[in-house]
Amino acid sequence: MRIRRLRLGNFKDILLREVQFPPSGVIVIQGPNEIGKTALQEALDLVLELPADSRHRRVAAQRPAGRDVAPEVELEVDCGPYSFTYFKRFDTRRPETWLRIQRPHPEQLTGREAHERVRSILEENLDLELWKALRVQQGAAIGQGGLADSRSLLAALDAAAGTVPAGEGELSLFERIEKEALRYFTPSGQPGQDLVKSRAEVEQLASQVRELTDKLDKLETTVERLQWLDRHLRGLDEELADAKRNREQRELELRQLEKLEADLAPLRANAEAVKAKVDKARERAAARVRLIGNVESIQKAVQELEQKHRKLTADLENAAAAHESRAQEASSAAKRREQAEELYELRRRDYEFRQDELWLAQLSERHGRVLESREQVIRARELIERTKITRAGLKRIDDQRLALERARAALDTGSPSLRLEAEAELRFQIDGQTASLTPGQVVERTVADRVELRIPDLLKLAVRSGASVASLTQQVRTAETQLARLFKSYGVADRDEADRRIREREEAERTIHEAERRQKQDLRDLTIEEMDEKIAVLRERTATYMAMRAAQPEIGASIEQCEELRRSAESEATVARTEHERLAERAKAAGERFQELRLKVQEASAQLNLQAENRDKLVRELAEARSLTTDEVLEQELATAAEAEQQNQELYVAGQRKLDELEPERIRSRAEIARGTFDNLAGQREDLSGQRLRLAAELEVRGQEGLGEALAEATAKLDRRKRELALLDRRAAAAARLLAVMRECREEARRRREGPLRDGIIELGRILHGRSFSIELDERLAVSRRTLNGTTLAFEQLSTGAQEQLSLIARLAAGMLVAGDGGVPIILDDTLGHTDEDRLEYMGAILTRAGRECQVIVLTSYPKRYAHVGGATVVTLVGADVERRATANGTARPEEGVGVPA
Amino acid sequence: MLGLRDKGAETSYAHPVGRGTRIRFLHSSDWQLGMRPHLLDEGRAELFSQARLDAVRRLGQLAAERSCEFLVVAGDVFESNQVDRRTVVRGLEAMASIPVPTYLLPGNHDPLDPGSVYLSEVFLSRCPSNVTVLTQRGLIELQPGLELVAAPWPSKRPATDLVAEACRELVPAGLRILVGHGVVSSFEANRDNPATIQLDAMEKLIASGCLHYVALGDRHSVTKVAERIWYSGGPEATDFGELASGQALLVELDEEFCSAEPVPIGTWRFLRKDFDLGAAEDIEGLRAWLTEQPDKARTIVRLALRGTLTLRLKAELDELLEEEQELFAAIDWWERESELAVMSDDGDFGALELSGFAEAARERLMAEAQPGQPDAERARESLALLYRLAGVAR
Repeated sequence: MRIRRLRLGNFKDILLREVQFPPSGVIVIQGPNEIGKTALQEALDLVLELPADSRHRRVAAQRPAGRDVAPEVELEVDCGPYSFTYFKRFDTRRPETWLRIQRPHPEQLTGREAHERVRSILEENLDLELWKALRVQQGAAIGQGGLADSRSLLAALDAAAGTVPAGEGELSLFERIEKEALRYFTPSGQPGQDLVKSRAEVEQLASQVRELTDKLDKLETTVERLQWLDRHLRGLDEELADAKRNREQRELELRQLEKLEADLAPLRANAEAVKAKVDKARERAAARVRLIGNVESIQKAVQELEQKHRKLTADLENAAAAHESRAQEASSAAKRREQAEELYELRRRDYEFRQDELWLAQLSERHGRVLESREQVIRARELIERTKITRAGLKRIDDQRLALERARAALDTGSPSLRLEAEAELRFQIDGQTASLTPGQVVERTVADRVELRIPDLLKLAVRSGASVASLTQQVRTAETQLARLFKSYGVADRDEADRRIREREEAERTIHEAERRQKQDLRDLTIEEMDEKIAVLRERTATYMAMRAAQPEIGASIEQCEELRRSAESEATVARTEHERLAERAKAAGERFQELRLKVQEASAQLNLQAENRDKLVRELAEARSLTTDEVLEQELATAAEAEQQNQELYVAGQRKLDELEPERIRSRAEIARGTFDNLAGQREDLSGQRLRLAAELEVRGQEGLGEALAEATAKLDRRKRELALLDRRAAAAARLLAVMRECREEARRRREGPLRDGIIELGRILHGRSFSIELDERLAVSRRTLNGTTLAFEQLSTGAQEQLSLIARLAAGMLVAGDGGVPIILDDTLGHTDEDRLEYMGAILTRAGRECQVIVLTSYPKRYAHVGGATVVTLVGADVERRATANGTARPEEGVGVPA
Repeated sequence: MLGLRDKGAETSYAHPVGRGTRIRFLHSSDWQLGMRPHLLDEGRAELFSQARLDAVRRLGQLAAERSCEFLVVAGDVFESNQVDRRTVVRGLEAMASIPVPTYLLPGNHDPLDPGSVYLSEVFLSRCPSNVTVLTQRGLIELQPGLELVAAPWPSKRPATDLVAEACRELVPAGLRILVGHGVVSSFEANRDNPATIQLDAMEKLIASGCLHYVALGDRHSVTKVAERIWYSGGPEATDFGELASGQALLVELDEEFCSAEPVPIGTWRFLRKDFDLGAAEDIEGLRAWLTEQPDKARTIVRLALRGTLTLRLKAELDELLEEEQELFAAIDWWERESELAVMSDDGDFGALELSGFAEAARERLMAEAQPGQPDAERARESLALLYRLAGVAR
C-alpha cells in the first residue's frame, strides 16, 4: 500500500490539513510538538478501521474541543491493483462515508458498503500485521515488532529463499505432532506419565512373577525333598529292620558268653585262694631261709671286724712310738735354728752400724760444702750490690762519648786551622805547651777559640776564632760536662773503669749461679736443716750401738768385713731353718698317722660292738622261730600247697581256654556295634521323620496358596503388559522421532527463510557500522544477537541507542523485502532520539537507501535528526496558522501542498 | 486310591460283568482346570476358565444321555498341583454334577507327589462321592470281571514307563481298561525319555487279552494310536495347533468289540490363519474372514500377516484389527510368523498436500524408512503417525 494523499478536517485542533505523499522515498513531516503529526497516524487508522458512525472513544477523542463539528478524513491510496479515494466524516448523527475507486475499475460506493469494500480490499492486499509491525509510534518502547506474524513478510522470505512456504495446515500439523509427543513425553523430553506407569507396572509384574516363581521353585524343592525323604525313610525302615535282627543275634551271643564267664568264675576264685596259700607257704619258707642266711652273714662279718680291730690296734702302738721319736728330732733342730738366727741378727746389726758410720761421714762432708757455697753467694751478691754500672749504662756512656767526638769534629771543621811547616828546626810553644819541629815537619792546629803560638823570644802569635767557633766550642764543653756527669753517676772515673766494673759484676753473677748449683747437688732432696738433723741422729745411733754391743764375738773391722760376716751368718741360719722345717714335717706326719689309727680303732670297735649286738639278736630270732616251727615243717607245708595249686590250675586253664576260643571281646564288640547301628539308624529315622513332618506341614500351608495358578495369571498379565509397553514404546519412539524430524526441518526452513531478512539487515547495518557488522535472528525474526568488531552481544545487552538503531534497521529491511508487492508504508514517529550526531548521518543514509524501494513516512519535531536523509520530501506543519485561519475563515481549506525536497 | 475304599459301595457296580458283556464309558483327559491363556485379558480369562468347568458338566450330561457307566479322566485334571483353592472347589463342584462314577488319574501336570492337589485339604474335604482318584498303581476292581489298570504319575519326572510298571505280571482275567498318561513311543521324538509309553508292549498286552482298552491322556487332540489305544484329547482347546481338541471319547467295549466315538464338548477355538496382504482387496479378504467367524467371543485368533502395505492400507489394517479385537476373545498378530512390511508411497501423502517443513520432514522420514536403514521400522511408524495426524486435519 502506498499513501498518496491524506486530508484531515476538524480533527482535534486541526481545522484542515492536507498532505500529499510521493509514491516512494522518504517524506519528513516536521513541526513542533502538539502540531498534530501523530494525528495523521491516528486519522489513517480511524478511516481504515472504524465505521463513520462509530462511538469508539478513539473517535470521540478526535472531536474538536468546544465546537459542534465532526472530524473528517479523506485518504487517497494505491493498494495492490486498487487506487481509491476514501472519505469518512465521523458523526454519530450524520455520518458520511464514500469511496471512489479509480483502478482497476472505477467504482463509487457510500456508507457501510463503502466501508466493507475497503476492508475487503485491505484484507486482500494489505498485510495488517506487517503494517503494525513496521510502525514506530511516538513514546513507544524500543522494540522489534512482530515480524514473524507478518504473512506477507513470511511469504516474501519464502519466495526469496526458494522454499515452498508452510501453510496453516503444516503449522497446525506441527502442533498436533507436539501434542501427540506429549502423550508419551513431558515437555522436557522425559518419559510421560503413561510410559512411566506402564514401565512401572511391567516391572512390578515382573517382580511379582519372580517372587511367585521363587515361591513355586521353593515349593517344588520341598516336594522333591519330601519325595526324597519318603524314599529314604522306606530304605531306612528296611535297614532298621535288618539292624534290629542283627542286634538281637549279637545280644544272644553275648548272653551265651556271659554264662560261660559266670561258670568259670568259681574256678578262678579257687585258683586264686590256692595260689594265695602257696604264696604264703613260699613266703614263710623264704623268710626262714633269709633269716638263716642273715645269721650266717652277720657271724662272718663279726669275725672279720674282730680281725680288723686287732690289726689296727697293733698299728696304733707302732705309730705312737714313731711319733715320739720324730718329735724329739724336731725339737733339737729347733734349738739349732734359734742359735743360727740370733747370730745372723747380730751380724746384720753390725753391718748396719758400719753403714751408719759411712753415711755420717758423707753427710758431714756435703754439709761443709753447702756452707761454703752459701758464703760465696753472699759475697758475690754484696759485690753486685755495690756495682752501679750496667751494660746499659756503659752504652749510655759510649753514646755520650760519641756525641763529644762529633762536637769536637764539628769544632775542628768550623774553626780556623793553623799550619806550621818548619823550614828549619824549630822550637816553640803552643798554648803554653812546648813542641819542636824538624825541617819539613808540619804541625796543624785548629783554632777553637784562641791559639797562642810563641816562639820563644822570637815570636808571640795569638790566633782567635770567630763567633761560630765559639758556639761549636760551647757544644764541645756541654758534651764533656754531660760525660763527666755520667761517669760520676755510675761511680767510675773513666770508661776503662766502667768496663772493668762490669766484668767484675758479671763474674760475681756467674759465681752465684755456680755456688747455687753445687749447693743443690749436695743437698739433693734435703734441706740444710734436715741434713743437720740426720747428722745428729747418725751420730747418736753410732755412739749408742757400740756402747750397748757385747764384746763377743767381735765386730768386723770394716764395712766389707761386716758384710761378709753377715752373709755367712745368714747362710747358716737358712740351713738350720730348712732342717728344722723338714724334721717338724716328719714329726707332724707321724702325729697325724697316730691320730688316724686311733680313730680307726675307735670306729672298728664301735662297728664290732654293733654287729655283735645284731648277730645276737638274729640268733635269738632264729632260735625263737625254730622253736615255733621247725625248718622241716615249713618245707612240708610248702610242698603240700604247691601240689594243690597244680591241680586247681589245670581245671581253670581248661575253662579259660574254652572261653578264649569264643573271642569274648569280638562278641562284645559286635554286640556293641549292632546296638550302635540300630540306635544310629533309629536316630536317623527319627530325625528324618521330624524333617518330613516339618516339610509336610510347610507344604500343607503353601501348597494350597494356588501359587501355580497365580504365577500363570501373573505371567499372562506380564506378557500382555509387556506387549502393551512394547507397543507404547514403539509409538512413543515414532512420535519422538517424528517430532524431532519436524523440528529439525522447521528450524532449517526458518534458517533458510530468515536469510534474506538477515542479509537485508546486515546490508543496511553495515552502512552504519562497517564490514564487521553482523546479526542473528530468533524464531520470531527479531534480532537476537549483534556482532561488531568480533564482539557478539545479545540484543538486550546493547545500549538504548544501538537497540533503537537496530530496531529501525530491521523494520526498514523488512519493509524493503515486501516493497515489491506493494508493501506497506513505514511510519516512524519521532525516532532516533537516542542516536548521536555521528550516527544520525549514517542513519540518514540508511533511510535514503530504504526510501528508494519503499514509502517511509517520518514524523518529527526535530528536523535536524533527518537532515542527512538524501532526497527526502519535507513537509512543515504550522498548526497555529491553521487554527487562526480556520477561526478567521470559518471554512476548512487545504493548508499545504506537496512537500518540497529538503 | 483315594475314595475307593471308603466309598466302594457307591462306586462299584452292582452286577458282575460277564464274558460278552459290553460296557459303555466316557474317556476324557487334560481338563487342565486352572489354566490361564496369555493372550486373554482378565475378563476373558475368567470366561475361559468357566468354559472348562462347563465342559466338565457337559461330560456329565453326555454320560447320562449316552448311558455311560463311568468316566475315566486320563491325567492332567488340573493345570498344576498349585492351582487356586477356588479352582479346586469349583472343579469338584462341577465333577459332583457328573451322574456316573468318575476316576481321576494324576498326570504330569498334577502328579501324586507330596504336594499333590489330590492330597490337599480342600480336595480331600470336598471330593464328591462319585469321584475317585487313582492313587495306587495297578489293578483296581470296579466290579467282578471289570478292572481298571491305573498308572498314576507319582512325580513330575518319572524315571520309568509307568504304564509298563502298572501292567507288570498281568495275566488275562476279565475286562481290563488301562488308564495312563504320557507320550507313546510312536509320537515321542526323544528316544532317551525313560517315561515313554512303549506301544509295542501295549499292543502285546491287548493281543494277549490282558488289556482291552488303553485310555491315554497328554495329547490334547483326539488321536487313535492303535487298535483299542486312544488319546481322548481335552474337552476344551488349550492352544493353537490342536487339530481335534474339545472332544471326548464315548467308548463301547467288550473282549471282541471296541468303538471309540469322538463327541464334541468344547466351545472355545484357537485359530491360526495366514494372510498375504498387498492391496486393499487383501484387507477386505481379511475383514471377510474375521466377519464370518462364528462365536467370536470364544475364539482366539492368531494372524500371521505377510506382504507389503502402504501407509494408508496399514492404517486400514490397524483400524480393522482394532475393531475386531473388541469382538474376538483375542486377536494376536503373531510377529514371529509375520513378515509385513509397510512402505510409504507418494500416494499416501499426495492427497494430504503437505508443504514446507512438513513435506521436508516427510521426505527425510521416507529416506530413513528405506529397507536396510538402521531405524527403518521406527521411521515407518513415524510416517504412519504423520499420515494419521495429517489426515485428521483433512
